[in-house]
Amino acid sequence: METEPVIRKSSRLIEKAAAAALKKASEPPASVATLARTPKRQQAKSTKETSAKSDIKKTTITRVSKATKNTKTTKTTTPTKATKAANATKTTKTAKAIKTTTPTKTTKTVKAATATKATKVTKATKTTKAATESTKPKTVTKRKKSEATPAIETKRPRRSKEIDSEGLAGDTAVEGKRQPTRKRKVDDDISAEQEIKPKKTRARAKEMISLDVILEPRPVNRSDPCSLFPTEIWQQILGFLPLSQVAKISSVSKAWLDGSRSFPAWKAICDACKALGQPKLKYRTHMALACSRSCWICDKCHSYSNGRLKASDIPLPVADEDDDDFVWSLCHSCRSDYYHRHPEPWHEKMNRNWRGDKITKTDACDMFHLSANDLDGLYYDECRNPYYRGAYPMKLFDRQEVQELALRVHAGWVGVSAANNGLYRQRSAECKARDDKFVLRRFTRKNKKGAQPADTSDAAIATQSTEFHDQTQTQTQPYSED
Amino acid sequence: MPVTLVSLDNENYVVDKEVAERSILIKNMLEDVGETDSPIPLPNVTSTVLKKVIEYCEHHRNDPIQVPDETDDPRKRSNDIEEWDMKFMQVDQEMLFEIILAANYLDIKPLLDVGCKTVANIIKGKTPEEIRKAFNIVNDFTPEEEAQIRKENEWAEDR
Repeated sequence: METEPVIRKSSRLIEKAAAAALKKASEPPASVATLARTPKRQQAKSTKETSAKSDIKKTTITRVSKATKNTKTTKTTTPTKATKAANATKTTKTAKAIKTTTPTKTTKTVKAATATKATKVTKATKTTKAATESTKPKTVTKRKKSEATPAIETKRPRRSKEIDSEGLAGDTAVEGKRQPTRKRKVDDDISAEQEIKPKKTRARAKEMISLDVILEPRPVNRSDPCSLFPTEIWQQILGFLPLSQVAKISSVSKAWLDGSRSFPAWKAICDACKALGQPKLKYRTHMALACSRSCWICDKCHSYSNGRLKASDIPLPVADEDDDDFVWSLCHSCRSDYYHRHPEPWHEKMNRNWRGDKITKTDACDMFHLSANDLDGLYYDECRNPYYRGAYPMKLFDRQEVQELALRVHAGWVGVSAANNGLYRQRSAECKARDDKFVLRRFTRKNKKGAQPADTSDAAIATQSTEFHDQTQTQTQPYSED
Repeated sequence: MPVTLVSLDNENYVVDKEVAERSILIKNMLEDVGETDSPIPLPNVTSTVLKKVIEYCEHHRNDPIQVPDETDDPRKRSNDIEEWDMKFMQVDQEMLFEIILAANYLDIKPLLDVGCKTVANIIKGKTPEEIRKAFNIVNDFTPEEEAQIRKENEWAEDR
């Protein structure tokens, strides 16, 4: 019933009869005709629109969906020869239109062309941004095939592939078989696009909104160098400061905290020293990690030395004369450089005894924390041991030379005193205590739900600290109690 | 050969090419353009700042160009500023920051270094509260946050 009004090439009488029959029919025939036409019109419109306005993606997608619906409706109809011919002519037009949009060399048959176009178009939809533009020709070709080859609609079992190739005319039969699979692929692609594309656009829209929020001009405090200067300049300024000062200024404001944390020296220190490791749950930033072992880090060269090899290797405070007596914590090599430029005076208060300006080997080792190997290069006088006649003769070194050696070995008097006092042991104990304190805080926080912690203030600070970390630090993963 | 520099507020400054070429930016521009009398626009620099920058470049016109290896010394000191440079940098903070930004824009590394050292010297040895006062910064931490940061950097306070 529906296909009758489509007959146009027949005589007028037949047309009149068909019209009369249509009047009786419940559904008007014009609607069917429009069903056959509207997709093409819509497609033509949509192709024009997509070529002109590629930005409007949502609208094109909706039109694509409409077009696919219309094609489905046309599939249900059983077209006559006249409709076939009409559709065939339309397919040639559409195929030409496709050629203009995406040029190809294969122009043997309309079907072959449309098939190649469809495959190319599907590739293009996956890769390029002009996916919405290419979806239109895809739907067009799909519909044309379905109209031009009505044999597609009769579903056949899969085993009929060989039979078809033998029985039917080669090209048409093969295409007739292939089309359903391709249709399904195209349908899948379209449906996937219909599902995914809007999500992408929404995501982009969200991104744009967030970017707008970020790019909003914020008032810059022109008197605050941290917020005024670019990062490179600010880091250059921080490079002139001792590390302890960089850590100290982090509590000025949030901008300064970010500026201090982003100082690349912290990361360089952590990377250079394997003992420090990387920031994790306990110490979440490179700065916090480096600060936890700060007593072993030189303020100037940022080297890490914990005094295990030599007691005086640890960074020690030195008042820099060139820097208005600003105190720097310098490692052995930095101290050596400094004292090479600014030599220290001799210690006059030495134990002056009967030996005068001489010092025994034992005293030299005890007073200046020198080893026998250190004293090997020095000249000495031998004399008889006054306490034990049968003992080995005493080695008497020049006091000044021993002092020079001690200053060289320990890099200044501060190094000598640190070696004598065992400062590195004291520091390591302090460092461990601080480290344990951090662990203790974490445990109190974990046991918060159960037993009440002994020191509530500590627990409160710990919880605040974790919350604050989560707020300020966006680079690391948020800490979960589970 | 004189070079004309045009500031943000359309003031022209005619300087020697040798002086103008202390700025790597201008040097590259002159190399690209060739010998022309057309003025060089500097839209990021105001006339007062440009005047100061030209003064610096005039004074250091015969200085050797810094080799990058020398500047990469990690043991940098903020106090090794020449006396003239120190006097040159004795300006109000706003002007100092403008000079630093101009030096960064014009790519005049020695001037940028001097400016950074001057700022570092202002910061050095000051407590956070003193720094806030010096730069007119508002403390945007809550007391708990500030206490936590100070706890983290306890060692820095000890030194």
